[in-house]
Parts: sequence; C-alpha cells; structure tokens
Amino acid sequence: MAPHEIELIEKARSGDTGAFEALVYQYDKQVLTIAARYVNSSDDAKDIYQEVFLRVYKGLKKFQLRSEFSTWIFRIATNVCLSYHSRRKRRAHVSLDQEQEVSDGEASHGVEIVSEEHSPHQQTVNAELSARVEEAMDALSPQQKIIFTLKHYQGYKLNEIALMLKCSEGTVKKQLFTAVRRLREALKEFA
Amino acid sequence: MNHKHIKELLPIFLYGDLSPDETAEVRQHLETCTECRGELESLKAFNAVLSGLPAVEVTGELLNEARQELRAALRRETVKQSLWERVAERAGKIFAPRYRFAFSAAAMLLAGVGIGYAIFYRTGFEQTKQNGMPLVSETSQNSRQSVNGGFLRGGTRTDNLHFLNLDPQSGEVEFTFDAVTPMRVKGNVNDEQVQKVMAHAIVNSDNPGVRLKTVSALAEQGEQLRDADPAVKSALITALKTDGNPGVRSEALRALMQMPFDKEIKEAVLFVLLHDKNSGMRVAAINSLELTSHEKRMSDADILRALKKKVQSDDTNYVRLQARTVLQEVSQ
Repeated sequence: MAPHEIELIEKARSGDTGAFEALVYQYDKQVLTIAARYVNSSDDAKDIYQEVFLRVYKGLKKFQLRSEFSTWIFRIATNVCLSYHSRRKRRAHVSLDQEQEVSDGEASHGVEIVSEEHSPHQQTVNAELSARVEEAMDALSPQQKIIFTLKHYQGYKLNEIALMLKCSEGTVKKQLFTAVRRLREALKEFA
Repeated sequence: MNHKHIKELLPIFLYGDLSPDETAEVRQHLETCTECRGELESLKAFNAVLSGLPAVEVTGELLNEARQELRAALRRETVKQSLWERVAERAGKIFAPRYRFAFSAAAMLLAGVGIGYAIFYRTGFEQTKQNGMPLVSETSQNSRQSVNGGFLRGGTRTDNLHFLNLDPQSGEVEFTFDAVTPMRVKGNVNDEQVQKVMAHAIVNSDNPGVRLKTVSALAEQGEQLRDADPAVKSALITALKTDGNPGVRSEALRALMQMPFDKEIKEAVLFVLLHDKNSGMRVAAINSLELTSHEKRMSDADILRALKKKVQSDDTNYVRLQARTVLQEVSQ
C-alpha cells in the first residue's frame, strides 16, 4: 500500500473527514460506475455508493493495513451490490408505488447515455435490446450478475474479482460461464 | 482437456483472462474442432451485440451529488459518536475491569458538567455578528483546564485523549484531549474575514476538493480580487508553487492573474514555467504571461530569459512552441 494512503487511513481513523474524503475519492467514481452498471438507476447507484462508504468509514478502524485498501473497498462494494436485490424486495413490500417510480425513473437522472448517432429504427432496436439485456441480467443470480458486470463492463481480471468476492478464481470462472450461457439463451434472437 | 471443458473456457478465452497454458490448449483445440470454432464465433457476435449497446456513463454531476449526500451522512454518523461513547471506548481499553465502574461514574460526571457548561455558560470561543455575518474568533486556547472551569460546549468533538492521573479511592481522573468544534461561516467571498478563512483552507486543508473549490471561488471573482486580503495572495502563490493537485495549481494561477502582476506573482509564474512537472501547467504559465501587459514583458529580463530557456530545453514540444510564439510576439 502506498505510504500516502497509509497516512490518510491513519488520519481518517482519528476522525479527520477531509482525509477520509481524499482517501475514498481515489476509488469512488469506480464504485459509483459499478453500482450504476449493476442497478441501471442513478438513485439506487447513489444509495449503494453511500452505503459502501459508510461501511468503509465505520470499518476503517478494523481495517488491516497489510491488505490492499482498494480491494477492501471493492469487496464492500460488491457485497452491497449483492445484497441490493434483497433490500429492493423488502422495499417493494413497503411501497409498491414507490418501487414503480424507481422502475420508471431508471437511468433518467444523472446517468448519461452516451451513444453514437443512430437511425430511429436502430434506436428502437437498441431500446428493445437494452430492456431485454436488463431483464436477462436481473434473472441472473446476484453473484453471477456482479461477476458478469465486473468482467464484461468493468474489465476486471478474474483474480481481482475473486479477491473482491472472497471466493476462488475457479468459482468466478464457473459463475461467469453460467452467466454468459444464460444471457445468450435469453438474448438468442439478437445474436 | 476435454471438449466440454474447452467450451466452458471459451468466454474467458475471449476476455483474454486464461493462463498461458490454458490459452495454448484452447488454441490447439480450436485448430481441430469445428464445433468450438463455431461456438467462438457465436460468442464474438454475442459480445459485439452487448458492446454495441449505448454505454452508461456516470457524470460528474451524479458523482458530486453522491459525494454531497455521503458528506451529509458522514456528518450524521460523526454526531452519533458522542463524547460519552468515545470516553467509554477509551475507558474499556485503558482500565482494568475493577476500575471501570469508578471511571464510568467519574466520566459521566465530567460529561454532565460539560453538557451543563455547553447549555448555560459559553466562553473560550465567541460568536459575534458583524454586518450580518457570524464571525468566529478564538479567545482562549488553554490546553489544560479544571473541571470547575468548564471545557466543552455543544457540538464539540474530542480527540487525542490522554489520561494523566487516576485516584481509584476518590474516583477522580485527570485527562487532556483536543476539543474540535465545528463552525459554520457564511459570508461574501470578498469579505476580509471570509478571505482569511479561505486562505487558511487553501494552505492547510488536506482535502484537495476543498482546496480546489476554495481557489475556484476566488478565481471567479475576477477583478474584485485586486483588493483581496494579502493572506489570499500569499495562499494562492503557495498553492501555485506547491499544491500536489494540478487542478488546484491551475485555478490558483487563474486567480492570481486577476490580481496586479507584480514581482511576487511574476516570480511564482516563472517558478511554474521553469519547475512544474506538468506540461499543461507550464503552457498555462506561458499563456498567463501573454495576458500581462506588453510593456512589462518587453522590459522584463527575467521573463525573456525564462522563455528562451523553455524554447531551448523544455522536453515538451508544445511548450517549446508556445514559448517561441510569445518570444516572437515580444520581439516584433
């Protein structure tokens, strides 16, 4: 771990919120990007972001300096993503209307869709495909979904993903293969 | 390696994440297996479809919102960590079990005195109002005070707590700690007091985001910065020359160029031109020299010497080119 990072961790542990911010701002955009890709909703991504860094803040005192700080952050991020579905289900019990709003408002605020110009027909196809991909992704198990997101969209290496999820590389390979197979089945009419 | 296993490895083969041995085996198998070659092509097509979809990008605006919300959540979290929890936590570490009860009672008494003090009696820090703006001035900084004298006020956090004495018989304890009091200052950026706080933040804040926002707020003031507090100018020069964040240095340069171009600012700009490792900053320094009055540049040997040095020896092409352009303008 870099000496400046250790220094920031020590300061943050003693309650220096400025040091804490400087520490986490090195990784927070990646965390938000993973969350946004995982949940496809800016509001939910911000919720995940906040929970991740509150857990980091609370857990900092117990953090072992011999581990990589970034790995620890991304491990927390993946855990929060994995528990996101169950929390969302609990929320659905609280307010179905609210859940509908979340669903309707997905990818509408703050998340920018960047695309090259397409014909109206292509845009329609893309919109339909996006919806189907999202549906297929939601049908994966949380672990398969996070592994596919981290590998396919974020480009992490298998051993990095294994470290984040605290599992073996073999498990990551197996789950990735299953995720790809299930997505291909669900999207076979497009590819 | 069997056919089924190779098929399972193909998605990872495509991601380029197999070990060299596995990669060699897959390649070898592909040479002889038509079915797997077909599977690979199909996988490529599938990846192409997913890659062709519009990409989701997290905007700076969303990131800022997330950070602000996190900051508010952290503030709430910090408030939760009350004095009592902190003292109790320390007590648990320091005292043997048989002293804990006595210490807890004494600490509770001290906390009670502190809370009472916070409510009924405020000295040490004063809050006054001038021109509608609350000003914060520190009037005493005693590092060691008696319990009877009072030592806390509302919102004060403690840190760096050290025990000096413990008398198990009487339950009396003596300790020191740093009292950190959150303050909120609101006022016009051109106000002298506000500028002093900003100058302090530019030089002392550990948070690059805070430094950047503070310097940017000053840079936005344009010509009004001409009359800025000398502490601001000094802080901006320090930031320009020493801040580790190029964004802060760049904004400090922009702010300084709103001020009268005197010897101090000239030296700071030339320092950047000659020593900043960031080529963008060196170009910004040259561009800022262009903005200064023509007469000053013509007559200033230091600037001409620095520019010539850059033309001859800067390792970045664009910096050499810019320096040459400005020199040519000067000599016309």
